[in-house]
Amino acid sequence: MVCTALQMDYLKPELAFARGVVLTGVEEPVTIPDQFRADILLLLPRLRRFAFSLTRSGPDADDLLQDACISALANWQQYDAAQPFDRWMFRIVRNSWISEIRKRKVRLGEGNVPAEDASELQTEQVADVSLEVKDVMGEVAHLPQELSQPLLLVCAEGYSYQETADLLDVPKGTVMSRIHRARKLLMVQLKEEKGA
Amino acid sequence: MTDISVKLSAYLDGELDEDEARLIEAQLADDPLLQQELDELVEANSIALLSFENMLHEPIELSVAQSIKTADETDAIPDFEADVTANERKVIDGVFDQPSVKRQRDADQQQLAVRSPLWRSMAASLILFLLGGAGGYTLHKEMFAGGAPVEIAAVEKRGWLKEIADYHAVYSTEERHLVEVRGDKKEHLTNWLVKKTGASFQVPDLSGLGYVFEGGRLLVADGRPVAQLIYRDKDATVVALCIQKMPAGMFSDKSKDQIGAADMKKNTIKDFDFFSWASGAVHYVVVGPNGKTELEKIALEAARHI
Repeated sequence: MVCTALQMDYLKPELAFARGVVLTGVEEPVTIPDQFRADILLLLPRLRRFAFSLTRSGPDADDLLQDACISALANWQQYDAAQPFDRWMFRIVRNSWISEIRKRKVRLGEGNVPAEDASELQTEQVADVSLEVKDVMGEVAHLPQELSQPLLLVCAEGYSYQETADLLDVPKGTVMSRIHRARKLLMVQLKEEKGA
Repeated sequence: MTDISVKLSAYLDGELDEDEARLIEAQLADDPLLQQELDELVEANSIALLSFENMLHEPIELSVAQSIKTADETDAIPDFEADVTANERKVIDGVFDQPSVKRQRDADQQQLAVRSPLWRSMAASLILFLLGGAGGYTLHKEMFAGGAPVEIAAVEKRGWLKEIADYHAVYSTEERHLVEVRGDKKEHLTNWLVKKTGASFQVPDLSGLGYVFEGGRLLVADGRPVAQLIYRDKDATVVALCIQKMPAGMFSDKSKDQIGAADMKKNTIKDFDFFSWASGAVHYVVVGPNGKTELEKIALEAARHI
């Protein structure tokens, strides 16, 4: 295995041999900027929230967050500083989740899964919400994932409808209708609570 | 679901162009049912926002932070003592000094005597992060065992006032949408806000000072719910009384009858003056335009009758 400059970031020369890596001696030393790590750390609470909204499971959200952060660090040179960093990281979280879903479906013997099928694991009405999800997500726990995600991005993250559509790979009109459906469902829920 | 109904949400999110927004506003003026639907959408949005804010307080696996910090093993080891206080060092050690990391750091410290300014700037960022200075994140109490409660209170206080200033800048200029629930539904509003905030209160009557109670809304500051009661005088000057239950473990010995001018703390943020005080387990703040001389009187009146 020949180590590229990107991969070298994680390797001390003395450890490279032990890990089966051959350094060619011509690579330029490249290290991950400290500020890049600090920026990821600052985003962690928001990334964890987004990860939980995708996975609806604490352990899965933690695994997804870990995978996404490692992926971001490994690809830090691909980040275009002219773009918002949080958007780039959210995209990585989502792509990592799609990748995980594909792996799970393959493991279940369902073969390779196209992206459009893998993008949302739970798109139907959430009939049975776990206590953990209720605990973490509060009033929005009962919203189906397909509704809570655009609401999260627009309402809490300040995304525009177009930015949300780009991230979730759905048309802008779909984002608009899903956000409205989410609020209407919450309204019904609130009325029921008030009536109770 | 009608097209106009869907557009209400888009209107709320500022996603309509100017002509469409003007059309919606005209329809809202003529159609009380549509206005009611918009009010309900605003309420639903506040609830969603509160839920999403609360999610920011979920604990994060230490291994994630460790992996971000240690992914590049050739980094120099920071000299924390040079730039951080003892308490801050405890915070950092409490989070990052897992045995394996500490062993690696000790070994590296024997080999490396290099000081890295970049690392120190990162340490400063980490402290901000750990103390909740960014992204609304606050650490869980166990991380502060023997730590720095004073710093936590300071950060939270600054955060809450700044967020109130942001809200006031937006809402105080509203005419039709100044409040979420109008003042003529005071009982409903009070019950709702008391339930949501966990802070018991009654709406103070400030008419003696020339202020009419217009209603209120639910806000979120520092990830916790805030009841905002809004008053307006004959010159259309808007002042707000905000009420937030303090985090568990924080408490003021002062009862509302004991609150006087000496207990009021004045701050000015973003062209707004604030008079804040604490009583029992609740924080209060009155916010209004900078230089409004009667604001302290309003705060004292509110403190006595809340």
